[in-house]
Amino acid sequence: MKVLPRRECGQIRSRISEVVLGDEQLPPEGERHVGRCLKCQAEIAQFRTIDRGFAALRGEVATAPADLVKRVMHELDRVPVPWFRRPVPVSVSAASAVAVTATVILALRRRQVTA
Amino acid sequence: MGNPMEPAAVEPGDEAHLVRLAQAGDKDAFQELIRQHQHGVFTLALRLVNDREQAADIAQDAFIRAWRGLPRFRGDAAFKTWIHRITVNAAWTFKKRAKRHLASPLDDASPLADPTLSGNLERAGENLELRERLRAALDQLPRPQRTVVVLKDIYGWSHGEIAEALGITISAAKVRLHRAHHRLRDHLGGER
Repeated sequence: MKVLPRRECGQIRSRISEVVLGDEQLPPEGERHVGRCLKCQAEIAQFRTIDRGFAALRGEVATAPADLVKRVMHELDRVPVPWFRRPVPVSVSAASAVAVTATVILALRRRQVTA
Repeated sequence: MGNPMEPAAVEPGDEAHLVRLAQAGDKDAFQELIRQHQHGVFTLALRLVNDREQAADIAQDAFIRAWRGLPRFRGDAAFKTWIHRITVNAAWTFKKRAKRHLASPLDDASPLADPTLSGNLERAGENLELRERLRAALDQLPRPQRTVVVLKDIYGWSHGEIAEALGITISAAKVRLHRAHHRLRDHLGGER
């Protein structure tokens, strides 16, 4: 069985974090080495512990300050709303609709008269 | 019974509707979006800066930026993803403004260890101890490294997303993450 030189063992160990915590894979000879290298196995165990810790942290939610929503809304009231985001009053919408309809009707009539 | 700290579950359709209303200038709809996402945004900010006051300022800034940026939000990503990206940017800007506050390593009084936290607290025991040790180790990382660890290992962002959000290359993000993992390993008692 081929025994990896120390330098190669170090190279494999330096990749173990990406294997345990990321999505990298060791080549087959690397896996075989890990199977008989206690240092590499210890490294794997340490990163698995860290991985379990991350999993535990993922479940945490901190509570935002009670006044956060109020603070944001207060600030937003000072931010002017651009004209294109202002709600259009119903009267203006209705007037626009009537104007568009009238324009279309007039255009159609003109075309009929021309024909 | 659901956890009272968890934001209420939102149907994707409801959220899309709220976003459309907010895009049209409806502040009530936007307020509802803030209500639903405030804890998530605040938690992310807190993880990035580890200071409750700063995290609150960052969360506030993020929501204001979101309001301004809403017309450009096309809905390709979920609103949550979008507001989280804005939060990371806001934290980054905040860091530049207040660098002196953010470089100090933190002690046991980690704000994420405070009693307002929810989640797995009921699952005491080894997970709790491990979490505290990891949190202490994270607090000792330099900010750029902690940021990539938080985004990758806790929020599951890709290297590309991290690189884009932080304005660095994918290689730089990978290198930071690699170094951070090894520092964490060292802090948690591994060999050097």
